[in-house]
Amino acid sequence: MKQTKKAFTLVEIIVVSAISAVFITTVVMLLINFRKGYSKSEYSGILMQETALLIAHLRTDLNNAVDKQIYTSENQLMFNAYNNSKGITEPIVYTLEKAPQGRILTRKEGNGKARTIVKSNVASLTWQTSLDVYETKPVPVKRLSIDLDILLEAPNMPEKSFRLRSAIFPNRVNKQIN
Amino acid sequence: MNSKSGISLIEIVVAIGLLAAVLAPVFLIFSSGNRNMEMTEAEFRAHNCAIEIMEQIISLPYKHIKSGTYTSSDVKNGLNFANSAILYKISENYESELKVEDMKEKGKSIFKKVSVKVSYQATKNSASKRSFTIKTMVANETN
Repeated sequence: MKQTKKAFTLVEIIVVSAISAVFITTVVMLLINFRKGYSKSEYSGILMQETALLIAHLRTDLNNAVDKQIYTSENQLMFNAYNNSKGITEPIVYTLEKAPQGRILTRKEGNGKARTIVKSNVASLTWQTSLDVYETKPVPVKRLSIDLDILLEAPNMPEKSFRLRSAIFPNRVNKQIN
Repeated sequence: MNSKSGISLIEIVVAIGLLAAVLAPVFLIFSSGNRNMEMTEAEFRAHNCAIEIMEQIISLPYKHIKSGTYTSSDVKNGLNFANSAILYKISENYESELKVEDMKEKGKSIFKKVSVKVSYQATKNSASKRSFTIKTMVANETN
């Protein structure tokens, strides 16, 4: 009874392959799930950041707006705002421009250079000014607001998008009109 | 006597077990990245909602900023603010609470403290709610 070469038994091989099959399947499933999640969130971070930057700019500028004349068109938002650091009032212009990857959004302050704020494709953007008048006593209260609806898309990937709806209530202008 | 020993079943099982234990944290890191992104988005939207509520209150004339505590059932798009004709305008629905307090000096209101608390769900799957509060002061400029 002398055993010189010991080999795997059939049972051992079956057990090992079953265990590794379960293990490998789990790993592959995890990888696939991760890939799915990653590609979904890959651009959502960038789009979210750009939306946050845009809305922060708009909030600051519109809160400093001193003139109730806020001009809006499909591609432009224009108003006069007080510049705290310079101590003067100057026009601020937001423009939607055509670019190779879609539409971008630029911001121009006074005579300065127009700077790009949103580089991703601006799929749709509405900036609607509305003046609500409330019949309060003794005098009615007026409230000016800019309703925003922003939809950003990743360039050439419309399935990756970020949408935000909000309203801005320019503080100085509202104090002026009441 | 065994002159050539192979890998035993126990060894393989242990090896796979170790590998799994090492890889598990790596995958957990990936999934936590996605979760953090989701949480950031939820927080951003809730924050935006809070600023929206706050801005519309502080842009009103001072005497129309009426003191009081307004709960989630009062602070909704289209409802009246403090039983006046002024209506709330809120783009996205969040559970929110608005508090306006008077700060008086010699019986005269000189400041109003406005605080907005917004509750939100951090991720789609989590049941627990998070909340944060933003506060500001409005000065009485009428005298």
